[in-house]
Amino acid sequence: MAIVYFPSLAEADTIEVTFTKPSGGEENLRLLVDSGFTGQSCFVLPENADDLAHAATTASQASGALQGTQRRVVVAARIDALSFANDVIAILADTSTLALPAATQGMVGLPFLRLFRRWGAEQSADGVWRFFLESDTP
Amino acid sequence: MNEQELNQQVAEQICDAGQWNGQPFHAGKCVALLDGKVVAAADDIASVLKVLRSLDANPNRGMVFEVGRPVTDVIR
Repeated sequence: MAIVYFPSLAEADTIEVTFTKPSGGEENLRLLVDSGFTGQSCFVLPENADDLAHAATTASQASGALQGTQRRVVVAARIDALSFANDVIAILADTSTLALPAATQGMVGLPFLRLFRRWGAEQSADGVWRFFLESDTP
Repeated sequence: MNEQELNQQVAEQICDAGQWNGQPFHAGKCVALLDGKVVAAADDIASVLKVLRSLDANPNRGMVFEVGRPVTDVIR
């Protein structure tokens, strides 16, 4: 098993995901963890993140903090510490309406968290919160 | 209608009817479209994306999707 920890913000849990661009580069984004974000899409990313899109996928309907028809794309997501790499679906949207913490660039939802064996938040002995993802890979 | 709109229309019809031009597409199957035509079908997105990009390297062209009923994304 492999486990990776991400320091929590005072007001939220976050993770860092590396996105491989079709042009060959990559981008690391810090994303707000929201296990109440459910459906088929794994991420909400800024609408200007077109350069991360490897292909379009079907538009979806959203409810809640985002409403109506949403443009969606396939992105290549990696977490190197877990040897994790997968092509998953992201919504590209105006994230200014989501009241994201200042240090974050988007959201990660339950469909992504459930790609891992275990996930959650824990408090260290010295009182510091951190979020973790655990996979079955050694 | 541009290429993306055409692909979206074909994808919706495949998801609704479970078939296209007589070819069945079962729920959970991943499909790649280019210019409204099916160019690949496989069990995972990565496989159909690879075929799509071998035919057209432009990430703004084509569409990949998983066959199934539409799922609403709920963002709290």
